[in-house]
Amino acid sequence: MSGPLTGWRVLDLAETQQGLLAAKLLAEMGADVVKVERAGEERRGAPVDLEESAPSSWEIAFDAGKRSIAIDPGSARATDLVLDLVRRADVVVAPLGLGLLSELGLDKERLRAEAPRAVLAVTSPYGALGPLAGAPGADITAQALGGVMWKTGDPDDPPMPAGVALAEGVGALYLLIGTLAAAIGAEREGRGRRVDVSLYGSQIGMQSWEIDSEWLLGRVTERLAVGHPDVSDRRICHAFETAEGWLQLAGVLRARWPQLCEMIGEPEMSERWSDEAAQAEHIDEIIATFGENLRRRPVADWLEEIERRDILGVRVQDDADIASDPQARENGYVVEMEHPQRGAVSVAGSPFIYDREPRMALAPPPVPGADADALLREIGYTPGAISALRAEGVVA
Amino acid sequence: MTGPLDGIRVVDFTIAQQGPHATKLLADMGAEVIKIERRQGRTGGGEPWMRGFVLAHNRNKRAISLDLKHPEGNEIARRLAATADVVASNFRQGVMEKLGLGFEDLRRANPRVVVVQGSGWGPLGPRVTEGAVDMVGHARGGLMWRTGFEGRGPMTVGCAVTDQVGALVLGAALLGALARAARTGHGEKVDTSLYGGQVALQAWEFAERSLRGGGAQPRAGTGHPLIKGRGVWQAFEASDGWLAIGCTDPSRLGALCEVAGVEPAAAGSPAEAIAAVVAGLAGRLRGRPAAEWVELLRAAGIAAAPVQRYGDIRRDEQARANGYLLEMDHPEYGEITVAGMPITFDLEPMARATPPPSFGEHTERYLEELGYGWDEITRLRDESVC
Repeated sequence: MSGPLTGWRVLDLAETQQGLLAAKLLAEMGADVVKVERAGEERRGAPVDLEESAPSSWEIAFDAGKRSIAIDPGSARATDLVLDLVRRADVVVAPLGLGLLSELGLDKERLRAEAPRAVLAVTSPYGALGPLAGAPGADITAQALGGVMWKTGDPDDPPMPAGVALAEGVGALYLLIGTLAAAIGAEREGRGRRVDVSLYGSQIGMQSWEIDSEWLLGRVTERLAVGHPDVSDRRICHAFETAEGWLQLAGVLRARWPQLCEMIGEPEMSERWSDEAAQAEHIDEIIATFGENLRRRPVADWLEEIERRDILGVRVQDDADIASDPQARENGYVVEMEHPQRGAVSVAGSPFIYDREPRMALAPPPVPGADADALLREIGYTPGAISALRAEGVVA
Repeated sequence: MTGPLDGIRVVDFTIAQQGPHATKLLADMGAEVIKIERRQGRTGGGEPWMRGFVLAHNRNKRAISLDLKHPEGNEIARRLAATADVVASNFRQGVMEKLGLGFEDLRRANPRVVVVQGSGWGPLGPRVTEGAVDMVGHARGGLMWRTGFEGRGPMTVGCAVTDQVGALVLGAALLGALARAARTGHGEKVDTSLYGGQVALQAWEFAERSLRGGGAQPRAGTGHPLIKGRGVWQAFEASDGWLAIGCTDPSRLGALCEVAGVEPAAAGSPAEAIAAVVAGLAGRLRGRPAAEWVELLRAAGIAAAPVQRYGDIRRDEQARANGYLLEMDHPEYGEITVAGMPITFDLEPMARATPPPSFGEHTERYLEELGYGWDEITRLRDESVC
C-alpha cells in the first residue's frame, strides 16, 4: 500500500488535535510518521475510555498509522536522540513554544540549523504573532472568536458550536496544506520553511465567502438553524421533516424550480413566483408550503421523486446511516480498523484516493514507545547503545 | 517574499466553491493559477449578492475564457494543460474525459502532470454520477445531525463548511501528489469529495460510536458530544454579550471557579461536579462584561474568548497581526478588507493580494504564449471560441 508520501519522514510532537490530525493525514498519504512522546504520560486530550488499556477513540482518530518513541525529557541524552530524529525528518510538527522540544532545550533556530531542509509545522490557538500569541485557547474559543458560533443556531439560541471540533479539524487541514506546499518548496529550493496555522485563522479562512460578502455588501445576515445565511433567504435550501426522517433540499439551481414545485404537488407555485426576486420576497410562504407537503410522505419516497427529476436532495444522515452507506464504504471513507482488543471497528478512512484505489485502514495507534528499538536501529544505534539508553531511562 | 509554490502552474477548470477555494490557496502560496472560464460565465458572476463569493475564491489568479466544446477552444485547453504541473476540475464524473481532458489524455502529453478531481460523493460507488452542492454534502455527511439540540431537527453550521472542508481536502490531496512529482517527476490522479472530507472531519466522533457499538447518536447541543460531562465547554452570557470557555483539564477547574466566584461542588460524580460549575458560571458571568471575564480567565490560564461577529473580527488586532485580514485594491470596489490567508510562512503574514481577474482577463496573454498570432486571436474572439 503506497501513498504519494511514501519515503517521507514526519516527526510528530503535536499536543493538540490540530497537529495530531494533520500528522495522521500525512500518514494517510503514506508518510512514515513518528510520534515522540513523554514516557509515562497519558496522551494529552485522550479522554478516559471504556477500557483503560485499549486505545481510545481519540487515539484511533488522531494517532492511527503512526509509530511511537517515548522518552524522558529530563535526561541529558534525550536531546541528542531527538536531534538525530530531527535531522532525518522532512517535516516536524510541534505546538507554538515547541512543547517537548523546548523541554529538551531546543528552539526554532537550533532546529533550523540542524535540519535546514525540514519543514517546521507549528500549531497554535490564535497565531504566532499578535497580542494573543501565547494565550490559552481551545477549539471552542477559536470557534467563538472566528464568528462561526455566532452564525450557527436559531436567532433565539445561545451561540452554538459546530457538532465537531471544527476549528481543530479545519486548522489541521490548513496546516496540512501549508506543510505540503512548504515540503514541495523544500524539494525545489533545498530549504525548509516554518509554517504557522492557528485555530482562529482557520475559522476566518473557512468563512472567506461569508465574511467577504458581509464586509463588501454591508449586509449582515440572520442566523438560521437550517440553511445557509447567504442563500436560504432567497432559495429553497433547507432541511424538512418528512413522515420518516429529514430531507435536505438544495434548490440552488434555479432551472429546477418548476420541478421542485411539481414534485410537492404545487405546480402553480412555480409560475406564481417564477423569478428569483419574487421567490425571495415570498420565501417564508414557500418554505411553509414545502414543509406541509413534504411531511406527508417518508424521506425514502421523496428521494425516489428527486432522482426522477434530477433535483438535488438527500437524506440527513446520522453516523449509523454513514457507517452502512455503500458509497462511503466503496470509496474508503469508512474502513475497518483492527482494534487490538475489539477486533474490526468502523473508522473514518482517508479522504484522498490516489489512482482510484481507496486506502485500507491505517494500523491501529501505537502503544507509547512501541517502536523505539526499531527506530533507534534505523538511525544507526547499536543494540548495546539501545540497551544503555533503556537502562538510563532515556527511552521507555 | 516568495511563496513555496512559486513556479508551479495550475490549470484550473473548477467551478463553484470546492475547487476555486482550493486553487485560491495555491495562488496565495505563489502558484500561477490559470482559471479556465466557460464562455457562459463564472459561478455567481452576474449576481450582485454573489460578489463576495467571486471575491473570496479568485484572488491572485489569472483567467482565460474558453468554449471547451468548440474544437479550437478545446485544443487551446489541451495545449495549456500540457504546460501545467496541476490540472484541477470538479465537474461531474466523466465530463473531463468527454472533453478529451481526462487523466490518460493529459498524461500522454505531460507525464509529470498531477490531476485532481473533486466531486460530491467520490469516484467509486453507486452515487458516482450524482451532483452535489455544499448543503447536501453537509446533510449526508453527518455534521448537520451532530450539530444542534437533542429533540430538535438538524442544524446547519452557519457557513458553507462542507464546501470549505472539501476545498481543503482537495488542495491537500493535489499537494501530496505534487510532492511525489517533485521527487520522481511522475504525476498521478487523485480524487476527493465533499463526502470524504466530512467523514474525515468527524474521525473522533465516528471512532467513539464504533467503540460503543452504535446506539443513538448524541447531538452536540451547546458544547461537544464527547466533552459533555468532562469539562466546561460552551458559551455563557455576560452582561453585554457572550463569551466561550473551554476547560477540560480537571486541575484547572478550581482556578475557573475561583475567578468566577463559583463554589466548586464538594460531592458527586465528575459529571455532576461539572454540571454544578456550569450552573454556577451561568449565574455569575451575567454580572460583568465579557471582555473583563475573558481577561481574568486568560490570566488564570483558562481558554476564554468573546463570541465575535464578523464586524468584531474586522477590528481585531490579533487577526490583523497574523494576516487573517488583508487589504486589496479592487478596481471596482476600491480599497477593501477581506478574509486573509490562514497559512503563514516564516512568520511573514500575507498583507496584500491581487484582486480576482476580470472575466477572461488574461486570455490573450496565454494564447500568445501558446504561439497564437494576433490575427488568429482576433478571429477566435470574433467566433466566440475565447
